[in-house]
Amino acid sequence: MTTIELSFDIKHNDFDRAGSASSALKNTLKQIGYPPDIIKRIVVSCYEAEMNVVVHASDGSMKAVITPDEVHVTVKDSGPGIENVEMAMKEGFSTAPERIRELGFGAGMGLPNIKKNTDELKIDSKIPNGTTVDFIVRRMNGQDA
Amino acid sequence: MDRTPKYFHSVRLKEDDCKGCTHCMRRCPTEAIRIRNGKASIIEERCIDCGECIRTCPNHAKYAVSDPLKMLENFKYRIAIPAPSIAGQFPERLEVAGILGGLIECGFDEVLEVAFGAEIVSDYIAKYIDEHQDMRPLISSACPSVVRLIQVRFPSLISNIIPLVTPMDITAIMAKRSAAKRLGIDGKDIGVFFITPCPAKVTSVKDPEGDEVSPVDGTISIAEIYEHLINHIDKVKKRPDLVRAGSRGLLWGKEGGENDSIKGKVRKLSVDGIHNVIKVLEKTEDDDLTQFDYIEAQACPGGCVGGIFNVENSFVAKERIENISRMIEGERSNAESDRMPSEKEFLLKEKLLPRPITLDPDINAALRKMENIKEIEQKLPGLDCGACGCPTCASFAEDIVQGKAKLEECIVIMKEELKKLEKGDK
Repeated sequence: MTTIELSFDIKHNDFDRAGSASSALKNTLKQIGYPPDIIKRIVVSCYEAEMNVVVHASDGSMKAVITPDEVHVTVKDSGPGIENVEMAMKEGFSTAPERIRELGFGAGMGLPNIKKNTDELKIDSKIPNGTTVDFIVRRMNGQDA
Repeated sequence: MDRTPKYFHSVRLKEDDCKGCTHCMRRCPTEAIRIRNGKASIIEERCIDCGECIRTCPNHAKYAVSDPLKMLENFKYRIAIPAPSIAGQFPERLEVAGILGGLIECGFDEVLEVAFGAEIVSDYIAKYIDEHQDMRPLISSACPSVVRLIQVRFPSLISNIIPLVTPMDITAIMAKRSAAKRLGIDGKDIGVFFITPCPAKVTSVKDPEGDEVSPVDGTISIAEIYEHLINHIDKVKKRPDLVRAGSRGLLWGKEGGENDSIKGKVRKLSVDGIHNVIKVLEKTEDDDLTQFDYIEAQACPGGCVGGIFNVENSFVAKERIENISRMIEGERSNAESDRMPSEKEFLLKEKLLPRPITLDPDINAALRKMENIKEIEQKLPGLDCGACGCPTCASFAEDIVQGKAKLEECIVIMKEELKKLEKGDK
C-alpha cells in the first residue's frame, strides 16, 4: 500500500505563513482525488490545529500520513500545554490573548471543531512540555462505505 | 486527430501571434496553460474562461469569441438584454436611454436591461439567504468564471454556491415569455441576445452549468456594439421608454453592487480579481469565513466593468456607473406581473458538479503518482522559471509523471549537466 508522508514546520506567531501547512496538505489531497467533503473535514481540522500552535503554543510541526483509506495527522508543539483539556473541548472557550482576537483568531471552538470533523482524535498535553493533537479522518465514511 | 471537446471555451489562442513567452502561463489561475513547441496551449479541462491570459498577453495572441450580429437574422423577433456594465462604456451624454436606443438601431426589436432582472434576483437572493441559515457563507452564482473555478479548484465549496440562476437568465426568461404572449408567436422565433462584457458568459450560454440549456440564444460582445455605435452616438435616438432598471440594478455592473442591492441584515463580503477570489475561497475552505452570510466574488478586477469585452478603461467605467446611479432612481417599478418569474424559475435546474483535476481516477495509482511527483520535485530547482513550459516546478513534476514532459526539459538541470561535462573535458 502506497503511503505519502508530508511534514511541515509551524512557527509560533508567524501569521504571515499561518495556514500554509494545511493549505499544502489540502492541495495534495485534491490532486490525489480524495472526495471533496472528506478533504473539507481534514482541512478544517488541520487548520484549527495549526492555528492553535501559531496562536497559543511555541514552534511546532505537522505530519500527515496519507493512505488510500485515511489521513492521519499529528500536530505537535513544544509548550506551554493546555491546562484543562476538558475545558478547551467546550464550544466557545478561548484563551487567546486580546491582540490575537483582534486579528480575527481565537474565537474558541478550535478543539470541538476538530472533534466534530474527525473519526478519531487524541489530545495529549502536559504543562510545560506541550501538546500533541493526533487525529484520523477516513476516506470512506458512512455514505460511501 | 480531431476529437470532440468536452467543454466549450470562448477563450482561444491565435497560434500565429503566440511567441511562446510565459506571461499567460504564469498568470493562469488554474494552471491551464503549457508552452509546448514554442506555443501556448490551453488544457480544456482546466480552463475557466476567466480571460486572465487575454489581459496579460503582450502579443494579443489570446482572444475570446462571441456570436456575430449576423446571428440576429436567425430569428423573427430579436431581444437584446444588455449587461449592467454597458452603462459605463459610452460618453455620459448618450445616457442609458441612448444606449438602449442604440441597441434598437443595431437591429433589435426590443431591449430589456439585465440590470432590471438583477433587481428582481437581488430580492430572491436575500430571501434565500434568510431561509437557508445552515450554510455559511453562501457564494454568489453570478460570475461564471468563479463558478467554474470552484468546480475545478474548490470542489468542496460547490454546496456553498447559492443555487440560483443569474440576472442574465431571469431577464431572458422574462423577456421571452412576455414577448411571446404579447405578440402571439412561438418562443422559438424569438432570439434573446445577451450583450456581454464577459467571455465566460459566452461559455455559460453555450455550455451552461446548472441547466441543460440556457434561456439565452446568443451573446454579442459589448465591443461589437461599441464599434457600431461610437461614431454616431449623437445621432442615436434615445429611448427613455425602454429604461426599466434603477441604480440598484445598474450597480451590479461593478464590484460591490450585487452585495449593495441585497437588502436585509446580512453580512456580505465582496471580492474581485480572480487571484483575490482564490485567496478568499482558500479561507472559506478552511471554515474561516463562516461569519459571513454571502460572498460576492467576481473574476474580473473591478467586477463586470473589468470584463474583457468592454472597451472603456474599467476605472473610468466604474465611476461612470456610479455617477449615472446618483442621477437616477434607486429602483424602477417592479409591477410587471405578467413578466415576473415563478419561484421555481429562480432555482438552478441541475445540481452543480465538481470538475476536479486529479492525478488518476484510481486512488492507489494517484498516490503512487504523487509519491513520484514528490521525488522528482526534490531534483528540481524550485525556481518556477517556466522555461520548461510549465508554470511551476510542481506542475512540471506532475507533467513528467503524467508522461507529458521530460526531466531533460528543465534548463537548470541541463545547465548543471553541461557544467559537469565541461569539467570532465578538462
